[in-house]
Amino acid sequence: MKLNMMYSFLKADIDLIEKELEKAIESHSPLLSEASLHLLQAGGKRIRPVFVLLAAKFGRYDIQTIKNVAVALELIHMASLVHDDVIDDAELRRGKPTIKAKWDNRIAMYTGDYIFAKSLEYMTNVEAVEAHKILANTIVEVCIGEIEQIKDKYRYNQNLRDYFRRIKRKTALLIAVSCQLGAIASGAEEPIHKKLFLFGYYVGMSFQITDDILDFTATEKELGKPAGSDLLQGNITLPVLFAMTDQSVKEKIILVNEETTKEEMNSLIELIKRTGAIEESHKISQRYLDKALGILEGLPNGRTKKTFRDIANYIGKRKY
Amino acid sequence: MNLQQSMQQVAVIKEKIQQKLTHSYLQQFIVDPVIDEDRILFFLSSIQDGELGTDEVEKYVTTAMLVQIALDTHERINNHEEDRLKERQLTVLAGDYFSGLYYKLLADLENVTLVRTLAQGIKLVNEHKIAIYEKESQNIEAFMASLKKVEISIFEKFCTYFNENEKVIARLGEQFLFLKRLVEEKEQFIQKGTSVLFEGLKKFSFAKVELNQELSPDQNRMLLRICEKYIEHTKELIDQLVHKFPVPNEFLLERINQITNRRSAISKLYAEEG
Repeated sequence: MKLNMMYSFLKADIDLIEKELEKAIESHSPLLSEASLHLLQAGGKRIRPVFVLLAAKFGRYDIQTIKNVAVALELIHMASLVHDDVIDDAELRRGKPTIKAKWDNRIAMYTGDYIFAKSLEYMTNVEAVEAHKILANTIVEVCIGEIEQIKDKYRYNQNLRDYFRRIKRKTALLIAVSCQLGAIASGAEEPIHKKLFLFGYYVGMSFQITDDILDFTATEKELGKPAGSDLLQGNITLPVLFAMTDQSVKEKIILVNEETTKEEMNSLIELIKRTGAIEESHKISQRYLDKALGILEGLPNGRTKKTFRDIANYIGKRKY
Repeated sequence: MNLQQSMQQVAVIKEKIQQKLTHSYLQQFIVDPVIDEDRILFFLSSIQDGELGTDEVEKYVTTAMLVQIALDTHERINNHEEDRLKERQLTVLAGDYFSGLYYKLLADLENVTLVRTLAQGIKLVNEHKIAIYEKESQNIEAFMASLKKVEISIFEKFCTYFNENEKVIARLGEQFLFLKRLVEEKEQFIQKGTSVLFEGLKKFSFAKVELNQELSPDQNRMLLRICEKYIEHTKELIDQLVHKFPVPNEFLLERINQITNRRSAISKLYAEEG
């Protein structure tokens, strides 16, 4: 089943969020509007807004209130993508030129800052102070995670704990708070929103590990970038950490640098695959997924819970 | 508040901001963020007479300064390929991190309204930065208005929130921050031959000159005269406002004099060097 079919009952509200996103990025500056729209139209799974809406179903669901959280979280995600493309010097995102490629770094910085400010403006329509404390902490943690990621590049002596802490900050936290804030904004009780935070956290961890596996197993066409790109850029992911437990493979991996050729990378990918690192990583991803599904057991039964389960299974096991 | 007290409080806030900005890894690679004491002084002066306690005042000023520093940090990102990669990457992240800290500080203070007000300021600054960068303005006046908005929007929003926007201190702060920027732009042009302001003046003054084409000495002097005209006008406005100032703040008046004198010194130097 396609992802958007799993939450088709939310279609009207998701369309409303999409329209609100378009409205949100309107600016007095035509160029700023154009650049932001260019990013918005590149699409995306909109998984954060979907999680916000679903989580809100556990409280008093009012789309006019909830939309503020959903839009804010997607805008924060968008702002970080624009700046990430400056950081990575990326030319393409979802098959379209990045803002920094179509315009330049300066425009990308201004656009990212503008979208971030807009996200906070939306968020301030939410009165619950607790929601702001959680989101503000998360934003700071995500930034620290990104700084740590740069610090850890090509650092081959890092351990699993470093990796898990990094992906928690980089990916899992924002998914976790999407679930939690949706629940808080709809007035759900504390035990519910805390469970939803954990659910989102486990799903996010599984999602990122799957992403890191796909860097070695998916094709260039599926990924939109050459296989092994993460490793080439010095990102030490779970499959790499597992593969490095084999000393002979480790000796080859630590030679990887920005100059490594595509052919050298391809043979290294094959070597990594033969160590069983991919299967080991899948097991860890599955373990997080199981934990996420376990958390759902403690939530009230119904269509929302089933949808959360379907989405978790989908994003944990996706092929690309 | 006397000179000594003002100086002390500015120093205390500067130290607190410094602590917030401290990140051992970032410090190894990025250019140290500039913590503008004049800006602290104006933020401080604009809320000092209210009912807030010292601790709250310091936190609010720190927050507004973090917003400004985050924006200034991102201003260091340019399009040069030869830039050191890690420095660029961490400069982007440092700005994002400082923005996050502003939100966190205000969330901890449970002041959601100020989050909103300052976010509106950030939007304005970026809209005007693009107008300047792309030279979208129709004429020099509009270009100068954008430059001013970039400098003052955060301060302006801060004053609006604390209902100080109609008071002399707000008007004075706006003119002072603009004057300081004009003087800095002029200094940069004299020293390096280029600046954001003078690139704009060049476009609007000499429509037929290519952007990368060098100007003649006469043309450069003409641009300097335009800049000087704005500096003089801003200085006059400041002088008028200083006379309206209800309670003279010695530290503030001294800083205004220093900036004004710096401007005179630069003008004199340039005139002497021809």
